[in-house]
Amino acid sequence: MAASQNFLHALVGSMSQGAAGNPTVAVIEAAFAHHDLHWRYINMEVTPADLSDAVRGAKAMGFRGFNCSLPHKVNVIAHLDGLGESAGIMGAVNCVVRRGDQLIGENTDGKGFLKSLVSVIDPRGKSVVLFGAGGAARAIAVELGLAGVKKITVVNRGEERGRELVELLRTKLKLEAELVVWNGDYAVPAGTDVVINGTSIGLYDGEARLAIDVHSLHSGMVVADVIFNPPRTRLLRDAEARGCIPVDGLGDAREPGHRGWSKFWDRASPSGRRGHAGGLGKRSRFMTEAAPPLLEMRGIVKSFPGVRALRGVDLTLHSGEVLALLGENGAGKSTLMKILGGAFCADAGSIAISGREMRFQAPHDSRAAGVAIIYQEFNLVPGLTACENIFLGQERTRAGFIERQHERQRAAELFRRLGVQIDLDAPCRRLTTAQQQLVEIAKALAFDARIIVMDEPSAALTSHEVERLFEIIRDLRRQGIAVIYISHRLDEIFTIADRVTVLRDGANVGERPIGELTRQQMIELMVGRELKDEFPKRSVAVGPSRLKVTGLQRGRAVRDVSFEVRRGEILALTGLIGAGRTEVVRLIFGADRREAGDIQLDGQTLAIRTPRDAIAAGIGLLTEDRKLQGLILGHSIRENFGLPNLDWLAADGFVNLRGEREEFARYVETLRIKVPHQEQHARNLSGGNQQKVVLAKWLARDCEVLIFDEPTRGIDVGAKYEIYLLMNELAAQGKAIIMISSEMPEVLGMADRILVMHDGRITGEIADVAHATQEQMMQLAVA
Amino acid sequence: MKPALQRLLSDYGMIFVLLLLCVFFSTVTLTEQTPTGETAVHQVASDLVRAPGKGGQVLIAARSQAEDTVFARALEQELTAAGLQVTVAIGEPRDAREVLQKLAATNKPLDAIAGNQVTAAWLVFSDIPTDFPALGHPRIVKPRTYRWPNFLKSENLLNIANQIAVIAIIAIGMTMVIITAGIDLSVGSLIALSAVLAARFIRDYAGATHASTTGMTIACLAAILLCGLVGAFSGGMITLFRIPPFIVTLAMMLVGSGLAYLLAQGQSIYQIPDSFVWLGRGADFLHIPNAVLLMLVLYGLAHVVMSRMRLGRYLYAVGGNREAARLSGVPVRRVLLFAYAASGLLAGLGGVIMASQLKSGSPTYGNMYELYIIAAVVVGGTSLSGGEGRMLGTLVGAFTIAVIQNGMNLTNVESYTHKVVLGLVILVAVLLDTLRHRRWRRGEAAD
Repeated sequence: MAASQNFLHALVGSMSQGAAGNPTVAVIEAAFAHHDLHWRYINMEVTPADLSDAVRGAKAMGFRGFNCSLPHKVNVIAHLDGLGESAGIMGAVNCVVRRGDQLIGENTDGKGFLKSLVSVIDPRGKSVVLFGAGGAARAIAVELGLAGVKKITVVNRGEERGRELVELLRTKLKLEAELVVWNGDYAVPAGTDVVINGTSIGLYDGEARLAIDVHSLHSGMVVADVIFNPPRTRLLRDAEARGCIPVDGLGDAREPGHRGWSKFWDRASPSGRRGHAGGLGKRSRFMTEAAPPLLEMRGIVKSFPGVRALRGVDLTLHSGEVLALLGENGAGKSTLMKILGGAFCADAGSIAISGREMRFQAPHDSRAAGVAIIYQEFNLVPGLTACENIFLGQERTRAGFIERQHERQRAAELFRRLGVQIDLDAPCRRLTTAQQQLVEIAKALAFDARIIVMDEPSAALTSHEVERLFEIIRDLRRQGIAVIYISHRLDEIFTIADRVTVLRDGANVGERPIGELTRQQMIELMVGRELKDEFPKRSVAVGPSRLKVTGLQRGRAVRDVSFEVRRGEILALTGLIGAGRTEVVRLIFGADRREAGDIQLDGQTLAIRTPRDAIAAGIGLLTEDRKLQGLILGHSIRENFGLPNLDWLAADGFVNLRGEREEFARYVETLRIKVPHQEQHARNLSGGNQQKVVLAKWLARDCEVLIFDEPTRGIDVGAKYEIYLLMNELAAQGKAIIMISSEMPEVLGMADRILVMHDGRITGEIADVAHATQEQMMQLAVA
Repeated sequence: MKPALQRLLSDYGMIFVLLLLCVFFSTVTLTEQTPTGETAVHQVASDLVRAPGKGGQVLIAARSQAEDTVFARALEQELTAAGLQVTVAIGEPRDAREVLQKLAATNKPLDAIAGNQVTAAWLVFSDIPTDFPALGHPRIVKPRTYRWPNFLKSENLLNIANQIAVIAIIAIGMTMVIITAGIDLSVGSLIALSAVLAARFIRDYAGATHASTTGMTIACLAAILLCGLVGAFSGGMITLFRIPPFIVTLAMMLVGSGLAYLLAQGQSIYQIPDSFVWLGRGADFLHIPNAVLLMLVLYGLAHVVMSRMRLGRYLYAVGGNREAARLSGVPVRRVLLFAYAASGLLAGLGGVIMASQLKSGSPTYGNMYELYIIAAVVVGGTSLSGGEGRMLGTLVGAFTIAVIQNGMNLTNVESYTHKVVLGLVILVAVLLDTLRHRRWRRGEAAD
């Protein structure tokens, strides 16, 4: 785990006097542990005289935030950089959060309660009767005011406290508020929508009676009690009996920080619902700040047959933030973004935008919610002009006619906003990649996207264009737009990102502000997994050179690549996707035409122009994409097996069906391909069995050179091991084997020698695999 | 379900539709049938030989039209051979009365009168006991009628086969092309081109109406080969320049049709010997038309190629996944070239057969045939996206179309309605096929 290598915790805590008696810490630490968070909650004893130093110290030490208890709730304000809305009105702070490099005071005392209230009634325009004017009642009253209630009647025994609260509500919130001094049973006036007990009456004494005329409660009224222990107070039971809608105090308890209540948490914490819930509340508050984040993806799960692509991923994004999403190939970044973009539907989990739960069924749903995804392959229609592309699918029409003039103006305006000049009438195919990318960005802005996802935006740009892109991203950030930036180029991430979220194997492994990470740590987080005994051991004497390629060249994809593979050797070709690995082997196999280069097998120069030539010369290629290139999915596996072998399985043009069946049966048995019969269509097989069929195709040809391109992608662990064993066996037979893999543990576990590629070139060779590290490979790959 | 049955259903599901159609049209065309020709003669003769039998006196009544006289003479011959005494009356009832009078004069009783449905009903015969008491009470014998569907009459069935032969033969090539995920729109025009070429070669180089069999054969082979070249040219454009098959063959469709009109100068070419119709109209073997025999032989060959030969496997592979096929060493270009050349050759053959059926070559032949041919292939279960389909399925598809057309003819559905019905049938067939595929895919990964 990365956590074991990183000894720096994210810090939160609490400042109060009498801290030793506050058990909150136990609850929250338990919650951190439960959620596997690399966080600490520290209980701090702070005197009023030291408060100023303590706050500055907390800031200096990088605290993400801290709770403020008595006696600091008011005094702390003087030492903060700003206040949240409710805290500003109340003039009291119960917790401090860090936003950027500012410490902001928030008051959340009433928020949790409001949340549970909102779940049963929309407070806007409602009349509320509130018992009590103490801290809890006060906080609730302010939240109610902010939520838009029409009128609050404060019922309190003490006149002074009550008047103070009513005054606050009238002046700061411009609310209709009145005070009723409470003596004897209070009769709730007709027309009241919500009745709230904000006093401590009923705490621990379920039978304690609030002085209220029960008969004045009517059905349909919402009656709420802040008392959470017991959750079913007498008030609530009475109210329910009268047909009212009860709201209990548990919602409030989920929001900790109220000193009067938090001291009771220890009773509930070991296993109770409150203790756990309290921990969750704490975590989400500090990590996401008080206002709902712009985007919150929670527990996203997505499985494909045989692969669990995402196993409960969380992602949070705030407005005006650039979040880098990092991870190895196959870590789940693209899948996560496709779920955000509505291209895939998550199996489980939730997506909320500005606190509102969303259900993205199709790309236009997410677009309507303000999410724009700029995929690596642009979604532009090459034949349409820049302007037409920008408004594609969101054309402004009048009576069915496109308002071209309007669109042109809008497009010109968007380009101005981006500070670029692009010919509106040029067909997109004539624009450069960078310009096309700008059209994509303009397209996103045209529908007021608030979240823009850029998948490897710099992959095809020159360094100058990348600079320009960064300026634009910074502009977008200033305009409050949030950007999720996916890139393998770590340098860029340090330049542009505010925060980094790292995925590995479909799960979150880290979420840090960029300042807290070194390049080394980033790589560790991405790679992070320990090598277990996944790979079969092997000892083969590596012999003389068999396959030798020199000066392979094709455009920008493959540039002057030379290497050799020796007898009995497994040579790994690695690097990031797009580095040119697949392209190299396709040249060797004749799948693409090479511009230059020489291929020799055992000293003989091979004239390879087509795959047919390569196959005839004894080369086999297990393609990267089994389904698109390796198999004919709609045909039987027997026919798939026979396809490259018909030269010897057919005589005079007639296929020897029996020979084919028998030959294939042999491989079904030795490779343990699990199929009901040979006529099974290839599409109905699992990934592992499909790969074995492809393998059988080439094994039957007894190839001298076998090239495995991502041989274990999308294959379950058991089948992986079997394929590794086979590779070892082939090596032992003296074949030359090239393996392309993005999975670094696989490379380290299987290869005798490693070549790392970057940008079409071989950037490094690791001959001493036994002592190589994934970091070393990653360094070469991102060179 | 057992895999074998399941495969049969999935490969040849259309065969059940065809059978259902046959049953349907058989039911609706079930009518009263009267034996004619030899059947009728044998039936009546054996009846009369049984009674009155040898030595009996029989009168055969027939109208003066050819069909009747042939019947009468054949019956006379047979009955005479069996030792009966036969008198034949040919003409109107008036003529029959004269003969009756003559017979009455001999004073020998008449045992039976034989006729067909019409003559047997002449009043003059029913009045014999009163008008000619001397003749006694002759039995009136006529061929027995029976109920049988017009649809299932052997002439009709052979007619269906003969009508569809051209389309079915060309559909062999089309099936290959479509299995490679391509399409060939030029075949309709190639029918015309081939017919015109063959007719012109015969008229201009083989001696017109006096052409020898060898001359005609060479002319036809040349026409077919030229069409094969056109097909190969299409294939070349498709493989070398990667132009979509739809476009290439659409262009060749126009070129072929235009050439046919040019070569024929817009006219039909009919200066062809009578013997030329041997291929299209002849029926040398068991009454099966020669064109139908040729079609059956070609389907047999094509089925073997597609299911047993490497070439067939390659055709399927190219259509199923061109890239995977290429990376498995399949010579994709050669395979495609073959498919289009074969399609051209078979279209040429279809044109020659058509010219033979109609004893002329005209540039109007084959108009819209490409669509019927594609329909036959698709109805036969071949997927337009390539990679799957069965040759015999196409035969079934062609027959399905032919049966529908023929059935509508027999039930007097007007010709405009034919197209509507045919169109809907094609739609339903493809719909069924799509649904079948969707069921497969549902089990598949959603990635």
